[in-house]
Amino acid sequence: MNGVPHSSDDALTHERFILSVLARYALAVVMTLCLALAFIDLAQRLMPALPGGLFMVFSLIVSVEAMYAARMLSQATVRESVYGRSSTTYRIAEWVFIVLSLKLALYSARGLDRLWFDLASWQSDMALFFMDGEYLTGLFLMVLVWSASTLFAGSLSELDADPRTVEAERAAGVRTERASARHRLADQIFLMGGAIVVMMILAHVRPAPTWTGFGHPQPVSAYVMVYFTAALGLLAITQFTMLRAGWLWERMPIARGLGQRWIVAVVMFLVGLVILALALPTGYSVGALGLIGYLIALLASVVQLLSFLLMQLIFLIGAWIASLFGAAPPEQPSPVQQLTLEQPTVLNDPAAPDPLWEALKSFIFWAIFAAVALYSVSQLVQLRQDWLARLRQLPALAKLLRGWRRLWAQLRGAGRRFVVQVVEFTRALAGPTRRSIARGAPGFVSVRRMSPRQQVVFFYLAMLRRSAQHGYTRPPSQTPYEYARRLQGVLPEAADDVGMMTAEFVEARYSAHEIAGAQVGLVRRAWEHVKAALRRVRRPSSEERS
Amino acid sequence: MGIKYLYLVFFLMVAAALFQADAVLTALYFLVGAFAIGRWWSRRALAGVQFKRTFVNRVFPGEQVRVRLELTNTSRLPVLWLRIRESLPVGVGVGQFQEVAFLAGRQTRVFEYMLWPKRRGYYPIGPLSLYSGDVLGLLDDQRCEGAPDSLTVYPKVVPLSQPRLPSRMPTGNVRHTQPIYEDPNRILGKRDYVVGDSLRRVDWKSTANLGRLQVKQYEPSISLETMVLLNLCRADYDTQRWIDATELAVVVAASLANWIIARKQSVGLCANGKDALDAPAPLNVPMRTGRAHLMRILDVLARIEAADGLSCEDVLRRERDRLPWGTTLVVISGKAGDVLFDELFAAQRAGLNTVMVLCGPVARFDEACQRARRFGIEAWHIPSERDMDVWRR
Repeated sequence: MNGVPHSSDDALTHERFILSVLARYALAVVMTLCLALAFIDLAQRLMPALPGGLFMVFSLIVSVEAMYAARMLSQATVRESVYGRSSTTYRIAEWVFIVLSLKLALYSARGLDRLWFDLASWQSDMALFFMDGEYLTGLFLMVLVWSASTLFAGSLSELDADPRTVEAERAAGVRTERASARHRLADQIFLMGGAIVVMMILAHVRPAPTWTGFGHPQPVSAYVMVYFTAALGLLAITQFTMLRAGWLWERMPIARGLGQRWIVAVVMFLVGLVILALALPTGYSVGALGLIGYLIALLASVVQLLSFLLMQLIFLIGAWIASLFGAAPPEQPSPVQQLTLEQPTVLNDPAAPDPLWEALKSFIFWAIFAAVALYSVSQLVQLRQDWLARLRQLPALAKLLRGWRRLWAQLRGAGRRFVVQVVEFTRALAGPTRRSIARGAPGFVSVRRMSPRQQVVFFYLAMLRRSAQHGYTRPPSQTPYEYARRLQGVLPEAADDVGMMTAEFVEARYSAHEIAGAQVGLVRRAWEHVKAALRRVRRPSSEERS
Repeated sequence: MGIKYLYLVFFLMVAAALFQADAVLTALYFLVGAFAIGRWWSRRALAGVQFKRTFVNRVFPGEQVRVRLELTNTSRLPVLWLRIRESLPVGVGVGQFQEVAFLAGRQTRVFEYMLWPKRRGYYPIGPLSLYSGDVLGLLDDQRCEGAPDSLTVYPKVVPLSQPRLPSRMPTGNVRHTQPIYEDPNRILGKRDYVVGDSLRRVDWKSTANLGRLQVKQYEPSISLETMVLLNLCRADYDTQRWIDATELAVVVAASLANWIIARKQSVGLCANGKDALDAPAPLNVPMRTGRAHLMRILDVLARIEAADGLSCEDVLRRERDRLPWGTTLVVISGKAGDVLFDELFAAQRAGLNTVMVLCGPVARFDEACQRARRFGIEAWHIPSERDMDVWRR
């Protein structure tokens, strides 16, 4: 099985191919129209009387015509190899038609009477009266639209992946560089997107000091979103086209309906994204710096409150102790400072309902904005590892990094030590746990609260400790039974007790079954005997110890 | 492309921070969301794809193998495109299996392809490479690789009827012609007593029935314990036809092992080739009986390849002392040199029954054969598979 369609599927495949080509060009036309709209939006700020609707209609016609012409000419180039003459002639005719029809269209909007009036003035000074500001703006827009459409069409025609074309390429052994064509198309899309954003900003936004916030909400320029939605749709379709061309080239069987599923998934993906993007907050009342200042003040207030409460507690304990001894209670401390938490200043928005609510909304906005910024930076860093490598080679930065690592290590170490101290302190406050008793952790222990197993272990460890105090320390290499033999030699009168304690300890320590309470009683008595025997024994000399 | 996309994002970010234009902020969210979700989707979806390969992993040459590849998307996210590429060795018919598929969330799809192994061997099936990517093509394709499986193609087994392997181990399952190996468990018949017959042979029941002394006649039988020593040292075969010759040697070894196991006798294998599983040479399969043991031997014979390593003489020297007295030692090689004859003679003197089988083209086989007979060693020459007919008559 290979990827080349055969008789039954041929017509259907070709039909789908035509549809996919049409979809691609339609998206490109939409994007070009968004560009035109952004330009008209900006131009209307300078010339409010500009016929935007007319220009849009004309842009649509020019865009469709430019794309069609570019596609046809590129195919004619391949077929006839007469690029030079045929395309030049066509282009000249095309532009003469655009120039004249634009002028006529403008006159049809103003009224044809104006044309007869202007005809006379053209004879006196053609350049001055024919090329008026409105017409020149329209002409510039058409150049813009035509150029963008031609560029798009050039890239898109290179991306065509008709099964027949791919098979012909395969037979000839020449493969079209679709990946580079797609990269070029993406560059054009991104560049045009940037241009649209710039034009939109110039048309609508008044620059103001940053970070402190703005009071006036901006009008929604929908064409920006439409442009980027169409752009991502085009990128998704061209991605599939490119992949499919590769699969066809390798004659890989492709699952039926993959293209349809792709389209459905892309539409759902984009619709979901648009909803998400529209749902996220864009307006804020409190600037970033103001918000940070407010958050710091809030934190300081909380700390202050806590310290005041602690002082009160200390005072109460002191007063209680003083009352026990009959002394006068100490003077009650007054709060260091009056607790004040200033309301955040809502900038340039006197109609804001509640400053705290506005601060919360702003906080959400800035948090999302910071997350987006951090994510983008992290992704860029991941993609541009070479930048990091180059930066690391800079001596000053290398020193700085070393210093930072050292500082970070010290901070981490200090943090760990602090955590350990805090944990130990809280444990000491809470009293010994069963686990700490089992580990032999220092502190007060209640033998009665222990389980029988723990009690047996406890008495054995007590025997070890007491024996060590008398100079019979158990080396770590010695097993309990080896140590028991040694201790039995020293304490012959308590030899049986030592043996019994050792056996019970081994059972308690290494068995899984239940330890009976009766065993604990035996061990306790044995421990008493051993303790008494240890009291009577003399301390060993240094030779005996060794 | 991803970098340029991020440049656009940064541009929008700066513009949004400076001018607080709602449309720019929305576009920023839209673009960052597309990038982040697309990236997450492609990675997460591919990570959730699991595969299971099912096939009969032990076959004989010429048998068709149907490989069933079951791909399951354990995630709820669909995998928009999944390129499946299964690497396959050339020896099993096809170079690779490739397909492009779509996997919906929690969907399982089954792909099947056929393998036609024509030659014995140990073939890796896979690894399976899966490729996918983000919907916008902003990032590089993701790839994950599944573990390969293996297909063992056994060597061809030629049915033999009379390989004529010598044995001196009495009392077994294999009939023999020499009455010295009479087996008291296998009564051939009875005859009248003649002077000189042992009284232990008298059949008292028959004597009582017939009224005259009858003695039992026993059938001679032997037991055959055979160790096949397969020499796959490349230097010991014809330089031009060593591939065919070593393959023939493997077929001879497999056929002999099959014949011996069919007679319910024990057989072992020792070979100095290179194991595809990198087991240290020499490969040693101890002498045992049963079909399972035969499969074990065939497994080794399927995997083994000719190599330049341990010589046949070294292996023979090492194995000689380990084998029990009376064992039949079949040495399969491509050449019979002086050193090999010395070792075979030493083995003969150690009580082993030695048989030498030379495979492939052998120069001056007659000389070698005469020499072998002088030493009391049986020698066979099998130039091609057809010549194994000598053991079928």
